[in-house]
Amino acid sequence: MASGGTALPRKAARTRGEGVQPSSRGTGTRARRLGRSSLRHNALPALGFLTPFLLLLLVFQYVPLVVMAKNSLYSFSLFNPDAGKFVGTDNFVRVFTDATALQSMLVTLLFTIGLLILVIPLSFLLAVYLNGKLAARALIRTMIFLPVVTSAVVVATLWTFLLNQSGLINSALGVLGIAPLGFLTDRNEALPALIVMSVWQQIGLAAVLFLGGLQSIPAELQEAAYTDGAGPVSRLRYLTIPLLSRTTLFVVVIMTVFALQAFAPAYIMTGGAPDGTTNLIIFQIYRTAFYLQQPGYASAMAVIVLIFALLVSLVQMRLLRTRWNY
Amino acid sequence: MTAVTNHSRGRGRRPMIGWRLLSLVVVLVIVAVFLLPYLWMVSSGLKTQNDIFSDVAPFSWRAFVPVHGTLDNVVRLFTEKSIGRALVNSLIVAVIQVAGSLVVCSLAAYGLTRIKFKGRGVVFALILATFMLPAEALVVPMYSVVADLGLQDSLVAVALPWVASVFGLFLLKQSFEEIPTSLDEAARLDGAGHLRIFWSIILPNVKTALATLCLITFMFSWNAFLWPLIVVQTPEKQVVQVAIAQSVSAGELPDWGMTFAGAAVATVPLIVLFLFLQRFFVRGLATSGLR
Amino acid sequence: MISKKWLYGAGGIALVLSLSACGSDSKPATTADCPQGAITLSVLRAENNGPTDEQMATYKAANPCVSFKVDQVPFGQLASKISVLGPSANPPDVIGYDSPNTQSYASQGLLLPLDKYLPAGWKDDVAKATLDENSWDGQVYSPGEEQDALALYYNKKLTDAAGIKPPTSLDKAWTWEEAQAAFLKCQQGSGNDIKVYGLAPSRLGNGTPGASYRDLLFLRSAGDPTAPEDSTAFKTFWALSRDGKQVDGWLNTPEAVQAATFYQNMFQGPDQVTSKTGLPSALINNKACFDLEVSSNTATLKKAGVDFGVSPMPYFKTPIVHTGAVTVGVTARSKNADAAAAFVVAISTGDELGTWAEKNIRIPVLKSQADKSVILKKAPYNIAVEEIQQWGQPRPPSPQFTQYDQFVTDALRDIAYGKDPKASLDKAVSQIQPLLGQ
Repeated sequence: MASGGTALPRKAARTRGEGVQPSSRGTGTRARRLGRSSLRHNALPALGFLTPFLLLLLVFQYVPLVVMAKNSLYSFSLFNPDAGKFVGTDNFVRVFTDATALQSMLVTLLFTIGLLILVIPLSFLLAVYLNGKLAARALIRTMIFLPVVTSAVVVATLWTFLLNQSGLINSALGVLGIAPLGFLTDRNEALPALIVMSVWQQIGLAAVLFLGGLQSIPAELQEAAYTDGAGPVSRLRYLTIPLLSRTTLFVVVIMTVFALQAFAPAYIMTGGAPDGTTNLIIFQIYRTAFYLQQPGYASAMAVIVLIFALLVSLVQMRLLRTRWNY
Repeated sequence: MTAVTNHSRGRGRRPMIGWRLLSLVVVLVIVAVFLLPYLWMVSSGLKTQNDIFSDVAPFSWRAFVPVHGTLDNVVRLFTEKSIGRALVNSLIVAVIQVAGSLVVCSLAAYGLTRIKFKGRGVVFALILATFMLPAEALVVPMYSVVADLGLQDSLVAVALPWVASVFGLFLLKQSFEEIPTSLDEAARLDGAGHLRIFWSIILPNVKTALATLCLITFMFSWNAFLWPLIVVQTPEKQVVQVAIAQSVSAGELPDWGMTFAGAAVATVPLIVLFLFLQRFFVRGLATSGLR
Repeated sequence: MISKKWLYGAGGIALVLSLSACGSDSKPATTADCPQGAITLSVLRAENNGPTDEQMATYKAANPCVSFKVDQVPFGQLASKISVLGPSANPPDVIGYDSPNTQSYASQGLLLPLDKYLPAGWKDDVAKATLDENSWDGQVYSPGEEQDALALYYNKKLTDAAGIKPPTSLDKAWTWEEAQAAFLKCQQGSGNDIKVYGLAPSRLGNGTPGASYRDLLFLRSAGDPTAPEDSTAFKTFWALSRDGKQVDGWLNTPEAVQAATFYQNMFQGPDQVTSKTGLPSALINNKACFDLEVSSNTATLKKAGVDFGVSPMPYFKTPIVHTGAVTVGVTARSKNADAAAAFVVAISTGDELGTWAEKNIRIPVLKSQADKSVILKKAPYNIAVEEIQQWGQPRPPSPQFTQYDQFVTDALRDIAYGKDPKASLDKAVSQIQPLLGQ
C-alpha cells in the first residue's frame, strides 16, 4: 500500500483536505471532457455512495454537537431537563473563573505536553532501532505493540496495582534499595506516573508510525548523503528528521487527541486526586454531568475542549501543506 | 546509523561490539518494561490473594510465575460474574461494528475517490472536521440522541455511532487511490455503472486494506469503555471492558486476583488476534499516517 | 427544553425504520386471573443490595399478577445510572438507592411521595434517623429498610498477642487517642516496612481514603450537639447547617481542622497506623489488627473463619455513627406507581421486614421489628444496633448531598495524602457553598 518514493512526488502536488485530483495516468482528452461535463451529474450517484456514512456522521456527530452547544447555554439537571433555565454565556464565564475547571484544563495540558515530550524522541529512537538489522526486531516490535492493543481499562487497572504501595514497581525499587514511592497518593508524583503509563501505552504506535516514515525514505537519498561524506549524526539531522516532519506531525496530532480524550486513568485510578492533580478534563466533564448534576456546565467545558481540539487539527492541516519534495 | 550497517564500506563488516551490547541492553529493557507487567497480570490472575502479596513483596521471580496456581479466579469470573456473557456481548458489538464499517466506509470511500462531483472538497472537509473531535466529550448529548431514537440499552447502540469511522474512511481512501482510474474508464466504456465498478474492480484490489480495516475496527470496538458504560443499562448486555472495570461493589475492595484475571480475560483475545495478524495491524496503522 | 425533534428529520426516521427490530416494548397482558393486567415492575438496584430476589419472589407469591424485571449495577455506578435513567422515557418503577440521596432525588422530582401508602403508626415506629433522612419538605419518599453502622472490628489473634483488650460495650468505648494507642501497640513494623497495620485501610469504594461515610465521622465526633447553637462545637457536629444552606463555618471549624490533623497523622509520620492505598481482606489475612466495618462484614469474617471481636466506634468528644443504607423508592415518572408503591411498602413494613432482616442479619428500621429480633440482641450485632439507637445520625441531609459528599470525600482524601487540613476543608467549602440552596 505504501508505494514508496515514486508515488510521493505526484501526491505531493495535492494538498490535504481539498479532495482528490485525478491521477495523471489514464486521463486522455476524451476522459477529461467526459469528466468535466458530468461533474454535476455525478452528484447523485456520489451521494448514493456517501449517504450511509454521512447520515451516521450527521446523527451521531453533528447532531450531538449542536445539542451540546445548546445545552451549554442552559442550566439544568439530568433528572428534570425540562425544568432547565437559559443562562446564556454564564456557564462559559464560570469555566474560566472556577478553580477546579481551570486546574483540570491545566492538568490536561501538562499531561499532553508531558506525553509528547517523552513519546516523540523515545519512539523515534525505537523506530530507528527497528529499522536496522539488529537482533530481535520482530520480537521487540511485538512487545511494544502489546499495550497499544490493550484497552485503556486494562492498562489503567494493571498500573493501579503496579503503582500500589505494595505493588510490583515499589518492590522492584526495594531491590535497588529505594524507598517506596507514593505514586498515585503523592501530589507531585501522580500526574508524572500517569504520563509514564501513557507513554508505555502509546510508544508502540508512535514507533510504528515513525518506522513507516523511515522506511519510505528512499534508499538512494541515504546513499547519496553517505557518498557526500555525511556522518550518521548529520545524516540524521539534515536528512532523516526533516523528511520525517510529516510523520512527526501526524504522531503529534494522534498523541494530542489521545491525551485530550484520556478518561480511564482518572476514572479508574485516581478519581482526580490527589488534590485535583490528575483531574483530566474529560473526567471532569463526566463528573460534572453525572455526579454533580450540572450537565449544562459540563457541556460548556466540552465545547471548549472541542474548540481546542479543532484548533489543533487546523494547525496540523496548515502545517501539512508544506511538503518536502525530492 | 542503520545505513552504516547496510552499506558497510570500510566501517567494519559487522556491527561493532558496542552496538551489540547496546542492542542487548535495549532488548532486555524492553522485555522488562513491556513483557513483565503482562506476565505479572496473567500469573496473578492464577493466584490467591495471599500469594499475590507474598510473591510481590519482597520482589521475587515468583511474581511472574503462578507457583501455586489456581484456576479459582477464572472459574469465579465465569460463574459468578458472567464474564462469558460479557465476552459474547463484546463479540456481537464488534461484529456489528466491523460489518457496518466495512459496508459504510467502503461505499463512502468509493464516492469520495472515484466520483468527481461538485462540492467534493466540502464534503471531505466536513468529514475531516469530525475526526479531531474527542468522542468522549460528546457522550452525554450522544446518549440523549440515542435515547430519543429509542435505542438505548441495546448492543446496536454501542456499535452504531462508530460505524461511520473517519479513520476507516481514510484507510480505504488511500488504497482506493492506488488503483488507476484507467480501469474505471475501461469498465465504463463497457457499460458498467458505479456499483458494478465498485464491486468488481475496486473491492477485489483492496483486500489487504479491507482486512486491515476489519482488524483495527475490531480492536477499537473491543476496547471501547466510556460509551458502553453510558449506553448499556442492563448488566446482561454489558461488554467485557466495562464488566471488568466494575468488579467492585460497595464496601468491598477489588479482589486483586479476580481483577487481574478479569483484565487478562478481557485482553487475551485481542492479543492472540494481534499476534497472529501483526502484519495487518502494524501496516494498517503505519501507512494511515503518511498521506 | 426546546424540542429537538426537528433536528433529526429524515435521517432519524430512516435509521429507526431500519432498526426498529431492535427496539423493545412490552405491553401488559390481560388474562383471566389478572383482570387489571399482569404488571411487570422494572427494578434498578446495586449488586448485593435490595430489593433482593427473595423479597421479590415472596411478593410475587402473594401477588401473582406482579412480576419483576431487574437491572443491576455495581454500587459505584448506581448514582450515575439513576441520573441517566431518571429523565428517560422509561424510568425504572422501583429503585434501590443510597438513602442520603433521598432529598436530592426528591427535590428534583425523581421520587414519588409515599405518605398515602404507608400504614398507620409507621411514623412512630420508624427510627428517627431514617425518618429524617428519607423525608423532604414534609413528605416521606422512602420507608427505609435497614440501618447499619460502622463498628471497630478486631482480629483477636493479633490483639491477644499484643495484650490488648478492646471494650465491648458502648459505655466503655475508646476515644480516638486511646484507639490509636492500641493500633500502634498492635502494629508490626514501621515506616516503609509495616507488616501488620494497626488499622486496615478503608474498604469503601476502591480502597482510597476519604469516603465520608467513615472519615467524616472523625470531624463530626469532635463536635458537641449540646453546645450553644452559635458555637463552633455545635456546628462541627452537624457539618452542615440544618436547613442545608450553609457549609462555611460548619465544615471548616477549628475543631474539625484539629480532628482532620489527627486523621492525617494516621496515614503518615511517626503515628502512622494505616495505609494510603488499599489492602484487600486485611483483617482476614492477618495484615491488620483493627478494621472499621459495617455489620454485614460479620458474615464475611465468619465464613473466613477468623476469630474476631467487635468494639464500638471511637470518638473525640461526642460518639457518633452514620446511619443510612440502601433503601427503596418509587420513581415519580413510573407508569405503575400504585403497584410499585405497594411493593415497596410491603417489603419494608410489618413482619415481612422482620423476617427479611432476621434472615439476612440486617438491622430493620422499625423499632418493633428490631425488638423482636433474637439474633440482633447478641454480640456482635448488638453493638451496631445500640450504636444506631444511641449515636446514630444521618449523613448531613440536603438536596445537594451528592455534591457535598463528592467534595468532602475529595477533601478528606487529600488530607489523608498529606495536604494541609485547613486548606483542604476551605477548598471543599468554596466548592460546595455556591451549589447549596439551588
